[in-house]
Amino acid sequence: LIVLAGHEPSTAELVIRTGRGDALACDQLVRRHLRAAYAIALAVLGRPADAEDTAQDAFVTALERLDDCREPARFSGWLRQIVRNHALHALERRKVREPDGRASEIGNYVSEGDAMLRSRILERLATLSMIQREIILLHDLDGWTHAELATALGITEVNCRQHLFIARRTLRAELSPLVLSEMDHAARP
Amino acid sequence: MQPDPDPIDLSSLDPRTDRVRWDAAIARVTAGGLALRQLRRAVARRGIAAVMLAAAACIALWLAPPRHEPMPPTVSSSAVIDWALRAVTPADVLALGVPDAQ
Repeated sequence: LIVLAGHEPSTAELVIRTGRGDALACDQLVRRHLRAAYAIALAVLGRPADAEDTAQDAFVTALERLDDCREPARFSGWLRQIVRNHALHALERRKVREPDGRASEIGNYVSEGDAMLRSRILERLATLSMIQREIILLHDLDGWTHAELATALGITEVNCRQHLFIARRTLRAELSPLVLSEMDHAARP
Repeated sequence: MQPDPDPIDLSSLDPRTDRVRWDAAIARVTAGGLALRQLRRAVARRGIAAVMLAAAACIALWLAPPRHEPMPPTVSSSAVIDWALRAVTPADVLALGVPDAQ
């Protein structure tokens, strides 16, 4: 009824309703937060396919343990911890499986040009620190504000802005003019 | 708050660009999460029921009147004292004629 009335339910509402077994609310909750989970996993793992799998597994775990989320309004931060832990475990498993750590990864659902651009961006992201990767992915990919980032990461907003500034500067400096022109071209409608 | 100017376009990393795949992922997570929640609740419900049954059984046993079973026959203390006072020696035992007693 809330949805039909045009009211956008808050995350806290969705968490509470999902906890009661409301499938529609659960769908909305996942739709709203799955990309952020993916961004967090990507910041740790550096590979989109691994990040997708890990984000999905972590989200299922989060839904299973939703009763442990004592502050529904802070669901994002709580989910971030779960995703991060899953991603770190996945990274440990990968280190055991691939000691050289040089398996290539190109997504299987992008065009050839996109795949090249994507691999260049991933290479450059790998040169950033983990917190810089997380901030730039959550901010520029999922649209988190500095306030949200600062709360979730336990840092100040000023610190967050500094990390974002450095991350963007590093990416811009290291991406070749060709890639930047491709990105600009892709960004145009 | 003003949005930060000049964000980097990371849309090539955006999983939502493939709509079908993305919707399938959402459906998978939703179904998996809800199913596990139901399972968890069912296990918890059955666990609570099992604990309550066990507690009820314990209380019933505790409240039940004690059963008076016949005690096994025991040797009276006076018989033991009689035997001890008879001063049986190893020679007496050997005298009973047990073969290979030595």
